[in-house]
Amino acid sequence: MVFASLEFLSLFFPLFLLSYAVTPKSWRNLTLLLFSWAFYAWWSPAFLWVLSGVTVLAWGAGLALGATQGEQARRWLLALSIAALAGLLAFYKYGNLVAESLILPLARAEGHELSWERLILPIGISFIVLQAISYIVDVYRRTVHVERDFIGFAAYQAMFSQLIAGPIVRYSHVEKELHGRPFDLRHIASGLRYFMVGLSMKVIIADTLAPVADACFAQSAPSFADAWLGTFAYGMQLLFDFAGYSAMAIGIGQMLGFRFPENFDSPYISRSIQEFWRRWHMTLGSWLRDYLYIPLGGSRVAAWRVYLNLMLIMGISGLWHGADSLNFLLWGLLHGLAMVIQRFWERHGGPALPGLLAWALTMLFVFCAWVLFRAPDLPGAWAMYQGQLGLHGFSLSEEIALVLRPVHLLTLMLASLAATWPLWRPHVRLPAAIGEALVFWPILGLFASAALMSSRGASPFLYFQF
Amino acid sequence: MSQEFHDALIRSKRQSWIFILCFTLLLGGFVASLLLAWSDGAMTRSTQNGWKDFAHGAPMRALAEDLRQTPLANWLGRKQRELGWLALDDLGPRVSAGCPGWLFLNDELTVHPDGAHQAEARARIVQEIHHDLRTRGSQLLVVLVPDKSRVEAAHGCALPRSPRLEARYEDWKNRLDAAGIPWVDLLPVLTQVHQNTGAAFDRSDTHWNIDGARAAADATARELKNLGFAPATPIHFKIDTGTPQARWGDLVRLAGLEQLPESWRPAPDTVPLVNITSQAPDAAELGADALFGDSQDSRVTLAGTSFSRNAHFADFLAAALNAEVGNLARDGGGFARSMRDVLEQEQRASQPTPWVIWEIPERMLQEPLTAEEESLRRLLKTGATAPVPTM
Repeated sequence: MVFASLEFLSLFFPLFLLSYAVTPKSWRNLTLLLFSWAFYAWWSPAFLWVLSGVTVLAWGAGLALGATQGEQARRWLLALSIAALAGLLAFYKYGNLVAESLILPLARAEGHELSWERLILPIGISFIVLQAISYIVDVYRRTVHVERDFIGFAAYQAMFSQLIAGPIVRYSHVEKELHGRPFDLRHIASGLRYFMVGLSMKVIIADTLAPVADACFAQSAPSFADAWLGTFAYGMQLLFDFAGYSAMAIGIGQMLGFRFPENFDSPYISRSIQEFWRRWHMTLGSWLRDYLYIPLGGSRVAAWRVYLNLMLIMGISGLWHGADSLNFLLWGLLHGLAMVIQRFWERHGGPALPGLLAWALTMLFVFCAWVLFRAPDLPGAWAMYQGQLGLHGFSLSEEIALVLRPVHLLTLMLASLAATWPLWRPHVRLPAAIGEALVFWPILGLFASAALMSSRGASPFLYFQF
Repeated sequence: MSQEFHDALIRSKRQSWIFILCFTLLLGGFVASLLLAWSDGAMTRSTQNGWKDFAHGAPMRALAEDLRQTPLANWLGRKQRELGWLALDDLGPRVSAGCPGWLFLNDELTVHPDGAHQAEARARIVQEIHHDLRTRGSQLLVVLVPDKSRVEAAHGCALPRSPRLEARYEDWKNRLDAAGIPWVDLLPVLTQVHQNTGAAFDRSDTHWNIDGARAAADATARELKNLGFAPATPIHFKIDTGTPQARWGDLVRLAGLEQLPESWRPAPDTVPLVNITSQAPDAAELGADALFGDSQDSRVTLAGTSFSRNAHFADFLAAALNAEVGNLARDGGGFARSMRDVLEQEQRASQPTPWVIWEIPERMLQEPLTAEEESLRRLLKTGATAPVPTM
C-alpha cells in the first residue's frame, strides 16, 4: 500500500488511528505491528514471510549476541547473521542478473536447457535488511540494549510509516519511544502537517511530472530539448517523490510519538558532491558512513585508501539500488569519482570555486548522473546523453509535445522554487497576516492531492523498487 | 523542513484543531463515501473478485479500483479536471485541443515504441480470422477507419502528430492487400466528405459525424456488393433528418467536463437528429428462397468498435445494403472483443453468417496487444478458436 492512495486514506489510516487511539498504552506496539504487517501484506501477502523472517532473524541474533560473552563467538555470530541478511538481499536483488547472465548461458553451453522464472523483488527489502543489520551491529558494538520484547522489536522493524522506503531508522533512534511515547494533540497536529506537506510533494509535484519524464526516457533518439526536459523533470520527480515519502513517513511517526531522523535537507542547493550527499537520502549516507566507511578506516588512512574507500562505498550504494542493469553501479561509481576529484582538489589546495559556479557545476553533474539512474539500460542512458549533446536534433519532438501541458511547466517552476527555497526564503518578506495564513497551506495541498489521486489513481513511489 | 520546523509553526491549540478537523473531515468523507458505495452495491470489482488470488494481492487491487468510483472520489476527481480546464485550458492527459473548438483523442497521436510489431501481430490475427471464417463459409470485409487527426488535419493547428504515424494507415493497407483480405479504404471517402462539408468527424467527439458515417456506410456497402453480396429480400429504409441540436461529444466526457455549466464547457457540436426506419419488403421483391420473407444467404454481421455504434453507421449501412445488419460492435471493445463475440456466435450457429464486416480504427493498430488479443492469437495459432475464452 502507498500513503498517496485512496485505500490508505479511506480505509487503512482511519481504521488504524481509531484502533491505536482506543488501545491501552502498553498494547500500542501490538496494534502498530499488526497494522504494519497488514500494510505490507496489502501489496502481496505472499511476501510477508520475508519481513517476518528478517524480523525473527534479527531479533534472535540480538538475543544471542546479548547472551554470548566470548568476543570471537560474538564476532562469528555477527558475521553469520549479516551474511544471512545480506544473502537474502543479494538473492532477490541480483538473482535475476546471476541467473540470466551466468547460470543459464553456462547451462546452455553444456547442452542443458534450464528455465528461470524472474524473481519479483519484495518491496522495501533493501530498507528492511539495512535496518536489521544496523540493529545487529549496534548490539554487537553494545551501543544499544538487546530488545527482549519481540512485539516491540517487530513493531520497530515493521513500522508501516517508514517500512517501505525509509528513512532508514536505526534502533537507537526509537529505542526509548518503543517503551513509551506521547500520543497527544501537539504531536498529532504537527505530524499531520508534515504528512500533508509530504503528500503534496508526492502527488502535486512528483506524480504530475512523472508522465513527462517517462515520455522523454521512452524516446529512442531524444532531441536536445527532449533529453534536457526529461533529465530536469526526472530530477525533480525523484526529489519530490522520495522526499515526499520521507516527509509523510516522518509525519506519521511524529503523530504516533516517534522522532524519526530527517532524510532530506534541500539537496538541490548543494555546492559540492559531498554537500549533496549530506543533504540527499541522509539516513542512507549516515548508514554507509557508520557501518561501512568508518570500519574501512574512514578518512584516517592514506590518501589512496580514502579514495579507494570512497569509490567502494559509492559503488556499493549504487549496487544497493539494484543490479538489473549496470546503470546503478555506474551511477554510484560516478558519484564516487566526483567525490575523489573533490577530495583531491581540496587536498592539493585547489582554489574554491565561486558559489554560483560551484552550485551550477554540482547540479549539472547530479542531474546528468540521474540519467544513468533512470534509464532502463546503458543504451537508453547513452541515447539520452547523445540527445543532451544535440546529436538527434534540437527541437521538442511531437511525442513529447503531446504529453507536455501547461500544468507540467507550471509544476516544474513550482518544483524549482520549492527545491531551492532556502536560498529565496531570507529575501521574501510577507505581511504577518499572510505569513500566519500560510501555516495552513498544507490543508489546501491535502485536498488538492485527494482530488488528483481521485482523478489519476495512485502511483507507486519510485523508491519502492529498491 | 524538519520536525522542529513544523512543531514551531503550530503554536496554538486552535491551529492544532484546524489541522486535525480538516484531516478528519476528508477521512470521514472517504469512509462515508465508501460505505455508501458499498450499500449501493457499487463495489463491483471487489464483489466479483472476492478472495481470489489473495496471496498476490488481487482483492486489494480490485478494492483500490472500486475506491476510485466512490461518490466523493468521483466528485473530487471531476472538480480537479474542471478547475484544470477553467484555470489552464487543461483537457487532461487523454484529450488535446486542435484549432479553436476542435478536440482530439491523444490515443490517436501516441507513438508506440513497438508499434510496427503490434500492427504486424494484429494483421496476422485478421489473417487467421479471415482464413477461419472462409473455411466456415463466411466472407470477411475489413473496414479501416482512419484517424480523426489524419482526416481533419486542417483542423489540427498545432496538434502534435508525429511524422512516425504517417505510414501507419498505408502500411496496414499493404498488409491486408498482401494477405488477400478484402478491405474498404475510408481515407479518400472521409477526405471527400471533409472537403465537401467541412468535416467528416464531430468536433468534440472521437467519432465520425452523420455525413462521415453515411459516406463510410455507402462505401462499405459498395465494397460488399462488389464481393457478391445481394439481398435476397431487399428491405427499404426511410431516413428522416430533423433539426440540428447541440451535443457534447465523448471527448468532453473524457476530459471530465460534462457536468460543467454549458457555457463553461468546450464548444458543442451541432448534430441533426436522424431517424432511420425499415419498411416491409414488397411481395414482388421476395426472392425465390425467401419462403417466409427472409433469406439465410444475405445476413450481415457487423463487428467493431464505437464507430459502428455512433452516428447511425450501422443503420446507414443497412440502408445502403437494403438488408438487416446484425450489429455486434462494442463501445470500448478495442480491436478484438466484438470479433470474439462474432466467433462465439459462429460456434453456436447451425449455419454460418455469410457476410462479416469488421470495422477497425487506425489508432488501435499499433497499441500493445491486450491479454485478450494475445489469448485470441494463441488460440488462432493452434487452430482452436472454439471455445473462445471470456476475459
